Amino acid sequence: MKYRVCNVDEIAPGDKRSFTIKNIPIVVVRSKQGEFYALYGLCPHQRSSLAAGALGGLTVAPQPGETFEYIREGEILRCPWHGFSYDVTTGACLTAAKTLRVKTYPLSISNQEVFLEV
Amino acid sequence: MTSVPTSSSTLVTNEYKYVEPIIDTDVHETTTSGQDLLPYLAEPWRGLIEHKAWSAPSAPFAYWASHGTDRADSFPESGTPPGSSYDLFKEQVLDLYPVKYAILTGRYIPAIMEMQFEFASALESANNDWLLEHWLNKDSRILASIHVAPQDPQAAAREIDRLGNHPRVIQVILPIGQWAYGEPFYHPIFEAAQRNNLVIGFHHSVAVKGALGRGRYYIEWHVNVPQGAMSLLTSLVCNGVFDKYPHLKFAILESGWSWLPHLLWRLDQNYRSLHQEIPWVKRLPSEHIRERVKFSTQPTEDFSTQNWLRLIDMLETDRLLVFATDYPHWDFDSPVASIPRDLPPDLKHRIFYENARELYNLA
Repeated sequence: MKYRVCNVDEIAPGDKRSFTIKNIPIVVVRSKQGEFYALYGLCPHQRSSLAAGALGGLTVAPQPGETFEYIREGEILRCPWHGFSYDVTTGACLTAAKTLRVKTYPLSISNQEVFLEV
Repeated sequence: MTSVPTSSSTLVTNEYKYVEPIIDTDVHETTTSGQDLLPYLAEPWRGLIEHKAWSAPSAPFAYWASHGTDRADSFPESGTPPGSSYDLFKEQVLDLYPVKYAILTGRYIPAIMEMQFEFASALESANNDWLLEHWLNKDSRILASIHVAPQDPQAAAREIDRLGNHPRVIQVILPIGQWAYGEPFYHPIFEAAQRNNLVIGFHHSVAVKGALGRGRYYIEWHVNVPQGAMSLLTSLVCNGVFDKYPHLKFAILESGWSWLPHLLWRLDQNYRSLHQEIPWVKRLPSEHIRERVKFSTQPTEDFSTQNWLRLIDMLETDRLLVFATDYPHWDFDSPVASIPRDLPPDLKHRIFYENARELYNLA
């Protein structure tokens, strides 16, 4: 079923908001590039609320002493407790993709309104 | 098509709940600001803070968890630091889980000062007075650890004697850093704790280092924290603290425990060969530790139920582990998601409650 969650302007690029739909906690994220993603809102590790986590990017550096790059801003959601990093495009934990993953939900945009399929 | 309001609460109602009583052995309360201690500080110490001659130092590194030292959701709306709000602590721990007792362990900044020990002692004394006045009257479930400056063991002993009889004070907390507490220099602290029937709790501080120092990265330092506890226990054993203070009990907090089988085996093996160097140690080290020391479970290391059982089997006792959340820190352990649900019920009861009740002699 489709649910209207918000207007696109209500979530700025690089920001997120939480919703509860059918008693399911869901975090809607907007990357720095402006794309929307929706994820189940509890971290599978110890069930913290991902809505309180930090939405950021990914560090890249080939070895100690090299300059850090910071990529994919707004696409990595870190758990507010233990800091596990989740790829918002897939729901997978970056360091445990096979065992720790949150469900993602299809989103669509129509007339500047964000719709979530749950 | 249905519109959905923004939700600030994302807890769902069909989550697993642990319903048996819990004793949380490691909660880090803190002041709202450095000014909180001023009413409890006499001159000349108060003036040093009032005239901005000193402010509490921060850690020598940045924390790489997502929000620094603390859980991202533990920051009070008032803007005061995580751990300073009883109301938020009540909402996020005391009333959220079936907590029967929560033991405050605070912070250890004066206790790791490398200079000005009289000032350090005064700060810890003020902290204790503030703690007893501002936290214990809020909730009967809260119990206190008193802080001392171990740099001056005689002053520390006086502070323990000053507050040791308080009915809700159950522990003296000491920071794990670079100090071999087993050495005779520190024994006045143990003597005072024993005569006041207080547990000695050891908790790692930012002063702790691994065998190669802090390392280059925060993750290195954090991984190696248990090395401080391991070295500390070796110091206590070999300097005869267990033999000299036969009624004293200890807690090792937030330093892990999965390394303990190795340490017990290695201590015993070395004792069998080398005991003549330390003739004041009359028993196998493992016997002392099993009888007198308990270890908080946080941070659990995400190993399997089978490995929990294997490790406890290797320890040859289920009496050593005591549960802790470490609220409000980032590596907080949730009571419903850190201790494996499928451990035997009796064992969970021991870990969540009974072992701590025995350690602290609680009703």
